[in-house]
Amino acid sequence: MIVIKTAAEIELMKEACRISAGALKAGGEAVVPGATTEDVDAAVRDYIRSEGAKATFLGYGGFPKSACVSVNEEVIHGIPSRKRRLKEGDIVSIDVGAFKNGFTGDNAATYAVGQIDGRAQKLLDVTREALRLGIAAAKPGNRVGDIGHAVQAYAEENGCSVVRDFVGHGVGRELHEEPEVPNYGRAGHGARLVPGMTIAIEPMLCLGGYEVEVLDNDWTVVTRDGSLSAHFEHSVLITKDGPLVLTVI
Amino acid sequence: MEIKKGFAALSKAGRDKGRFFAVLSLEGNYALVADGDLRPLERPKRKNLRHLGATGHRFDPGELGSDKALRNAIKARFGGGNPSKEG
Repeated sequence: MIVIKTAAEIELMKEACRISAGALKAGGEAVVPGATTEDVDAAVRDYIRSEGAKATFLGYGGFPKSACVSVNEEVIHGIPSRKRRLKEGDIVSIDVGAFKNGFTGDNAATYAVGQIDGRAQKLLDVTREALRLGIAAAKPGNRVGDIGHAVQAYAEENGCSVVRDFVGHGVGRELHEEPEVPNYGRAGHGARLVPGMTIAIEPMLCLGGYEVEVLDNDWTVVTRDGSLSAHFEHSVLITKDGPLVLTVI
Repeated sequence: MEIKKGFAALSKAGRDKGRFFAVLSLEGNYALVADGDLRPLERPKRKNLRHLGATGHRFDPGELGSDKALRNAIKARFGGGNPSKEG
């Protein structure tokens, strides 16, 4: 069942989303050549704690860390580690949510480690723009399929593939609520978007094929062909006037 | 109904709960399973038999010959294939 948030609930969720955005920014600032993915997680964890919130992902389904930190061909759910050191030219996706006052936010971004090559930069730019277009399609009266169609059309026009096996979702009191929000789809199909809905739109694009696998740690998703993948995400409120991004500082 | 090699099984627990797999081999209380998708044939998942439900569906040998064939076989038999997951 899709949960429509009340005005009071939306105010609580805005706070959780604000902290989520701040945590993502803190994680992004830790992305430098030589840092470990554990360093990134520590920055996220410390920020969330300083805001009196909890890291949504920590313990969720048994996830052992506060943020998902995914490098290069890792699409999502990378587990931060002291052994994984970032190097110049890598791209790293950080996915983080903060829980406070009964609500959670969820956001993600892919960062360049130092200087990256043109193809990697293009992947980041296309994925970021795909998110923007997906959000623009999240208007009241539209359908979930309009979001996925917008993301997919732009991604494929620009030479990127769209991961099928993992999708966006409703978000609020729970990290994952209905409806599912795929990054592909048919315009005019799927659940209708109405004011009060809060959804996480999160394009996951690849430079190669869209097929992915899960590593033996049972968490980390990687591209099957080893190509680079990028991930951008915002938690979005559907209002009568259009979409409102909640995961902002 | 017991879990058998070459048959389909449904994951009843874990992060892959609700997904269908092919049982590639049995090792004591565990099975090696693959779905040709998130879990390719060359890198099967080791699952406790308690976390698998038998289905009675036997794969043709050819359906276990490649990831694509296995994916298609699961999709054809179990209506739409394995579900997507939230990111």
